[in-house]
Amino acid sequence: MAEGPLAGIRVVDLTRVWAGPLGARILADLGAHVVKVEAPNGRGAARGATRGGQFAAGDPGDRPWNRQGSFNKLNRNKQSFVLNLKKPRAHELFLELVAQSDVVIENFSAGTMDDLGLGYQALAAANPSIVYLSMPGYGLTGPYRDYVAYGPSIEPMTGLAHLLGYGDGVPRVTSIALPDATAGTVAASAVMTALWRREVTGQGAFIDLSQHEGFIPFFAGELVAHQVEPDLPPISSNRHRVHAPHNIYRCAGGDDWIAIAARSEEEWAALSRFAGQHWVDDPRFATREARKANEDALDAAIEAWTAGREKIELGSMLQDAGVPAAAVLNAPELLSEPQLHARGFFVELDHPDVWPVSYPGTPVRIDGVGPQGWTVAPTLGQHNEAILGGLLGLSDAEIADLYAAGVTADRPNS
Amino acid sequence: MDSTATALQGVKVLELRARASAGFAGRLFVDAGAEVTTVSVPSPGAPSGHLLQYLERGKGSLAIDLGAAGAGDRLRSLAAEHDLLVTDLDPREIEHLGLQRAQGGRLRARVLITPFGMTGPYRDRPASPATILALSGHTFLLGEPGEAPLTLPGDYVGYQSGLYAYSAALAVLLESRRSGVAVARTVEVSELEALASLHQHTTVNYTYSGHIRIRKGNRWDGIHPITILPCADGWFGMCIVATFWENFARWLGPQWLTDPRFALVTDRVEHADELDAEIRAAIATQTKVALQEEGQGRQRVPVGAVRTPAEILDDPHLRERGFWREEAVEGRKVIFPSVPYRFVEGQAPSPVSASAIERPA
Repeated sequence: MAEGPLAGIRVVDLTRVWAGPLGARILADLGAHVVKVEAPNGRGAARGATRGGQFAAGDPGDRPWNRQGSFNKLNRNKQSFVLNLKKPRAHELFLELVAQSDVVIENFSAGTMDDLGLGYQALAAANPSIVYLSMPGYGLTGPYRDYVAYGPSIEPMTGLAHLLGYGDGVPRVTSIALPDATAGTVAASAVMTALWRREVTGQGAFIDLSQHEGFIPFFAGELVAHQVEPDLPPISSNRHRVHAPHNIYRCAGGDDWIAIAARSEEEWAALSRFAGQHWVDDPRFATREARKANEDALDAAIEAWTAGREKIELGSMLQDAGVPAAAVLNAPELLSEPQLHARGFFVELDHPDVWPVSYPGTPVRIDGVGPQGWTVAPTLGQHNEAILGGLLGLSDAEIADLYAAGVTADRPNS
Repeated sequence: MDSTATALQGVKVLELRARASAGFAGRLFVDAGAEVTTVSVPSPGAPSGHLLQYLERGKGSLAIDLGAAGAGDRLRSLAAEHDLLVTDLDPREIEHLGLQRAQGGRLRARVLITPFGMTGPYRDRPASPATILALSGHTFLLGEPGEAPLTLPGDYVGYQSGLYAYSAALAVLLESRRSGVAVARTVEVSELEALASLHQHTTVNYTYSGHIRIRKGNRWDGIHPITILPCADGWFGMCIVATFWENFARWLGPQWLTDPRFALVTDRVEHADELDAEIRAAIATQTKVALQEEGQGRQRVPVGAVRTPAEILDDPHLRERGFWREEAVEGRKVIFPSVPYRFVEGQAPSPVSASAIERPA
């Protein structure tokens, strides 16, 4: 279990796929004891074991449910406890676990927990001070409450697609399901808000989190702009509405690019000086307004200069010269990025069904200390005995009966 | 006022803001009921315009010249009157002002949000949201293959960094209250690390199987159809993972179910252009809202209209949920997003004594 300020806080994590597991992982990285309650199937959305491309070495192996990359990345520092919540005995055990916990997080469709008989009222009866977070795609109320939702289906519904693109009026989506990433971080923030209130008032909480809503605030300024200036023309999202130059420029290589963003006259002068191109002396580029008016020519001039240069070296030299710039990195380049390595951001964790792998760590350091006591993602049901025997006080014989009855398991039952 | 907006009543936050990251963190504190006082610092990356209007709502402000003699002393003294100091000044400025030494009074956390962290070879380098997105591996994945990759509009970097900072700051504040230890701790959030931590499977695809994700335009990597396509009055989005293929096909093209080109996920990826052409033909005469209502309401598949900014501002679901906050800006009424979660009222049991909350062993 990770060390951190949330030591002593126990979280029951019922979530699947990306957003929910990320939210619970943030709490785990901060030191919470996170018990991942899993269904005994280990397939599909639960452990993603239907997507071959993410298995270690592309090979599902004998236990594919333990070899899926995204699952293992998103569930470090957690314990796995398998409970078949369709069985009455599992309900009793689940409520006993809730009674000894502080937080429950789930990202099922709205109403699923009520249908299971495990909605907020049932949980609060077991533990009046429980903080219960439900995070369906569109929240628990409103006309879209029952909509089926995944990050990629939520994103077009947020308005971002019309702001993202090349300025040609064709909407674009990120195709990397970013609403999941924002829902995860918002989930952690919502839980922390409720835990603080509980600490002060003793009041538990039932939190309704909409993944749809969680995605919108980062482009709030753009939404306000469209209210004040309804006819605002589309622009390339690589350009800034005020500053120039601000774009992604081609570098030497097949698919190699650099981001450059000069936001002040000083940064612009530093870019011009470093490039040795006397751009600052060109009246078309002399002021911010002139650069915006001649942005096509400006971008063409800069790209003519960057096109033959190696992106990582150029990015580094521009930064040293005081220009915000950075190479556009792909996965292997990210994994070898010097700043991240110097700070020990990637954490190698050894999984019994995979091999030692470097996983992205946490951006949070407290008092300058990096990860302490981190554990790799659990195998399916790895902590059944620890939870049933240690926490819930069952005997070995009772635990064996639970396995026999299919209430718990340590491998999929189908 | 719902109780979400009073959850942090009594918490005092000093926001020392040079960029948007501290502003987003402060926004979250204000929306949850904390008292936030902002000291705004001029910088090339300072939020401006409509983003600034969104970030500043509900905050108090103080003017302090950081270049004046004794500015560091004044800021540290001011910090001691708050529970949290949240800043996104650059590391040199933080150290110059001695903010990492701020302590005493009611201060429990110094929250330092910086582009690259307080250590490492890039510590003092300049950065912007676009350069952090590039370096963190996000930009490479956005946009059309063969064309320049895309960066994101707005400030995704500031939002996500602010969210991390908010949660970590509250964790430290909570720890202090529970333990009774009244010292200020340093919470450091690196924006580059925040973004690098938020990929779903970009790095593990490579470390697990050597696969390098690339950008695919409006298509998903390895599953189809996850895309947006034009319909009668705009664009329509769909996320048809394997579970929903049968319902989707029964609705828009029952013949696809017996077409070997579309039999398996891998087949649909291989024949994506052909499948898109068939879907385009099937939806060409229908409006996006009609498609959404039929697809979600009757067919139970994850689809949705591609909303324009004007449409999202008028979206009936968000209106009914009370997501927007209306205020006057430049003489006109404008709506802003509120906090994207809320405490459900009327269902919570009576509070128990905070001291009676059982602690896990």
